[in-house]
Parts: sequence; structure tokens; C-alpha cells
Amino acid sequence: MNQKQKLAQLEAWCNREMTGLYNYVVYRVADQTAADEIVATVCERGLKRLHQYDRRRGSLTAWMFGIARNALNDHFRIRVRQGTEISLEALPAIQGRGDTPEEQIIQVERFEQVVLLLDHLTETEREIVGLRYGGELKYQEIAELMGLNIDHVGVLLYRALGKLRDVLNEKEAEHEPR
Amino acid sequence: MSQDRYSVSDVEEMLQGGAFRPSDDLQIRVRSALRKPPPAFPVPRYAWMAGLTVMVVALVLTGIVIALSPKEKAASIVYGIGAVYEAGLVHPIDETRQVGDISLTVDWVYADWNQILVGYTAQGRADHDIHVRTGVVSARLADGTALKGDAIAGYGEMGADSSVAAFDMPEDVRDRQTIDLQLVLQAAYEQYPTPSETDPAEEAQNPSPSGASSVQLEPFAVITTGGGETTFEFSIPVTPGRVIEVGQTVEAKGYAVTLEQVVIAPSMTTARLCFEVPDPVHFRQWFSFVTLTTGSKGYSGAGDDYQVGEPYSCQRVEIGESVPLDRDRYIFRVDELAGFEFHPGDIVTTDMLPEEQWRVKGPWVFTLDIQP
Repeated sequence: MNQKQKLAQLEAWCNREMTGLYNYVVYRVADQTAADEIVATVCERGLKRLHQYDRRRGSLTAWMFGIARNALNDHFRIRVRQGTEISLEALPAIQGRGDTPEEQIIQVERFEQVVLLLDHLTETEREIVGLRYGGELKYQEIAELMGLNIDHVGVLLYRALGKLRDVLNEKEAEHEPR
Repeated sequence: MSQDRYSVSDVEEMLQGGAFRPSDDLQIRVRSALRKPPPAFPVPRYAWMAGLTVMVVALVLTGIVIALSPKEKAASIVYGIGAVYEAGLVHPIDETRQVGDISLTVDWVYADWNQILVGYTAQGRADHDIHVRTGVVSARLADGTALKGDAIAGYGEMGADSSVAAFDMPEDVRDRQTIDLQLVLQAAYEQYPTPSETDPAEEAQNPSPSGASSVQLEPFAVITTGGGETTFEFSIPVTPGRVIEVGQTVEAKGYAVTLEQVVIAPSMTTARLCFEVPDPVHFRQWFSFVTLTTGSKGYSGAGDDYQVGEPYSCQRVEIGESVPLDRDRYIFRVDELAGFEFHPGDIVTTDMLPEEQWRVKGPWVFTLDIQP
């Protein structure tokens, strides 16, 4: 595959996956300003290193998300997390999925409810949840990216979702009338 | 004790119900990033590509959906066939075979002196998290010659998958009017199961010994179901091209480069280029970057099929644009040879290939005057 084919493939990839990449980064950093900076960096690095992309080594999705993971590592290396609590104010705008505006509003509220709890997860759990639900990657793709087998990805993802479920239920119980 | 309100499935649905929207500010920044040409290549070469990239990203980030069918999308992302697809040079086949409950259709075919292309679509049932996957099992000419190539692009939607398979045209058959192709395709469903919980009632009757949440983990292997293989046989008219036997050697910067042959065809142009590798020991991956000019227009391309360590490389250079066939003069310029450092034992990941490089800028210029 020559450089132009690679560039065409990158365009096609952007067409399909850029929003997923952005969401993955937001899941990790929970901050719009930082996410914008990182995604712009990832695009720049992807274009700069396109000649190094070799599809025999893996999919373009794995390659671009690999660049994103490294950019995130750089981000966390040079910045100490300023507290772990996630605030809605720091997050980008959220779109709800639904057929009617009412459904979309409900989905946004439910999404916010769970996204605010991501700081209860370990970095690995947060990464897997981000790749799966932010990046919308398949189990196989996550496994390749993280160097895990697919069973392990499933177990870790399940544990992470279970942890979020427990925190949600605890918060629910706190608000229940006694 | 009140029953827990949320289950793992609820959490999953909550996460799937929303998404973050990239800001306008990010859109501007991404545009800016993509406008910068890759530093490894000269600006004019990829300027139009960068423009297209900006346009595509802008469309994505502003939420505009390109209204193309999956097969049009698949065709649109394969570089080198845009011109022939849009000009209607591809030949419709629309032949469908049933593979289990998946319909596998060869939509169109195309052949010229450089490549053979087959566009095909699989249509299965549209279930959430079940993906239709296709692949080429084999591709042979009627005389048994196996074709080299693979599926180079695809576009999937729920329940459907469109792909284009590309094969190199064997040199010894390219002057035929038609070729007979036997293509074996496969299709199947792939499912990535989501975790599930035990029934709460069952959990109450059979509490887990540890007291922890009793989670029944299902095996998380990818499940492949349905489908199978099927064989298509069809004739493909060969759109002729032009072969220019060159056989010239030019020396520049102390290195000799030989242009053996150029093949111009409507979907793409290829060339066979041989050169002394400046340093196969320290820079173990070598590329050639070229420009073919005719009239006032230049078409760029690259060769990258270098075998690590070889001191003398003969590469297939590909120029993925439609170059006019009928000109009497072409200028083929090798702009540079680029080597990348890569040592055995280096830790190389998909995104961290070595940055060190040695770029030998020529140019090596070959003038191709075609006698009528």
C-alpha cells in the first residue's frame, strides 16, 4: 500500500472513527480543554507518521488509538491530576441518543450520572471502559491494543461496570427515604 | 433491604445512551493540524489530499452524514479507483449467492493492466453487536494462476459489509481482452458478547459463598456463526493501458537508479524501479518517492516493498491516479530515497517506529519520449 492509499485510508478512518477517538480521550481525562489538545496532537502525529503505518502490524484503528494512548501517557506524565473528582463543567457538551428530544434529554441525564463516577475506577478499568464505550472498539481491538487476551478484556470490563453499578446503587440508597 | 436499582446492563445502557460532542474549537484545531503536510513529503504532492481530509473531518465534526450507500462508501475510500468508478468504467455484476442467511453479492468488477478490482457486499440480519464479516478465500484465473492481493477496504453498517478486493494484474495476461476469474468469498457473523448477570431471583436462592456479588462470567470468545463460502465465476473485460519499456540508469548524489518499466492504466500507474540502497545496515527500511509529469501536471507516488537488508532494491512504485495515456512525453523523476533506522532487537510498536531517517534527495530524472 503506497502513501496515498494510506492517506485515503486515514481519511476514511477519520470519517468513521474520529468522534469515537474524541470520546475515548474525554473518558480518560474528563476535561474538554485537555481532550481538545490531545486529539489535535493525535491527528497531527497520525499524519506526520503516516508513512510508518504498516497494516500488516495491525489495523489503522489500533494504530491511531495507540498514538492516542501514548499522547495520554505524555499528558499524565507532565501533569499531576488536580484532584480526581469529575465535574460536569469541565466536560464537553453531551449528545443523547434517542428518537425524540425528550428521550435524548433523559439519555443525557443518565449518561452524566454514570460518567461522573468514572473516577471510582482504576486507570486500567477507566481505559477499558473508555475504549469500549467512548471509542466503541470491539473486544478484539481492545485486546490487541492493550496486549491482553479477549477473555481478560471481558472480565476487566465487567468488573469496571460492576463497580460503577455498585457506586450508583450506593448513591441511590443514600437518597432513598428511610 | 431495598433491591438494587441498577444492574450492569443498566450501566452499559447509560454509557451507550450518550456521547461527547467535539467542540467547534477542536474542529478548527484539527483542521489546522491536518492542513500541515506530513513533513516527510513535499507540500504540493499531498495538498489536495490534505484538503480532502479537512473536508471529511469537518463534515464529521459538524455532524453531517454523507449520504452514500455502504458500497459507494467502500468504493469511495479505495484510492486508485475513484476515477474509474466515478466514470462508470466498472462493470456491474450484481450476482448474489446465499451463504446461510447472508446474501453475498458481487456488485461490480474492473480490470486494467495494473489491477483487478472486485466490489462486493454482504447483507445479513441487522442485530445489535453482531457484525457481518467477509473475506477473500482465494482468487484464481481460469488457468489456475493465483492472484496476489487482498481486500483493501471495507465499510460496515449494522447487518451489512461492503468491501473492495484488489489484485495485481499478472503481467502475462494483461494484454487479453477479457480474463476469467474464479473468486471464493466467505461471510459469517461475528458476535462480541456483553457480560451478563445471574438472575436476581436465582442469586437470592444461591448466594455466593464469599458474599461478593455473584457474577457469572460467560466465556468472552468471539463467536462466529452462520455463513460459509461460495464461489463466483465471471469474465472481466480488461481496459487496456500502456507499457513503456525504459531501461535507463541515471546517477545522482553518487547513487545509480534504474527505471525499468512504466505501466500506465486508467486506475493507476506503476513502475519498476531499482536502486543501490545507500545504507541497508543502519537504515533498514527504504522507500522511493517519485513524480510522473506529463504536460503541466505532476502525479506523485511511492514504492515501499523493500526487503529488509537487501543492498539492491527493485520496488514496485505505485502512482494511484489516472495519468493520461496518449502523451508522447513523460518525465519520471525520483525525488528522493528515504531510509529509516531499524535494528534487530529494537522494540517496535505499531505507533513507535524509529524516527531516525536518512533522506537522499536526487533528483534522478528520466525523460520518456514515446515514438509514434
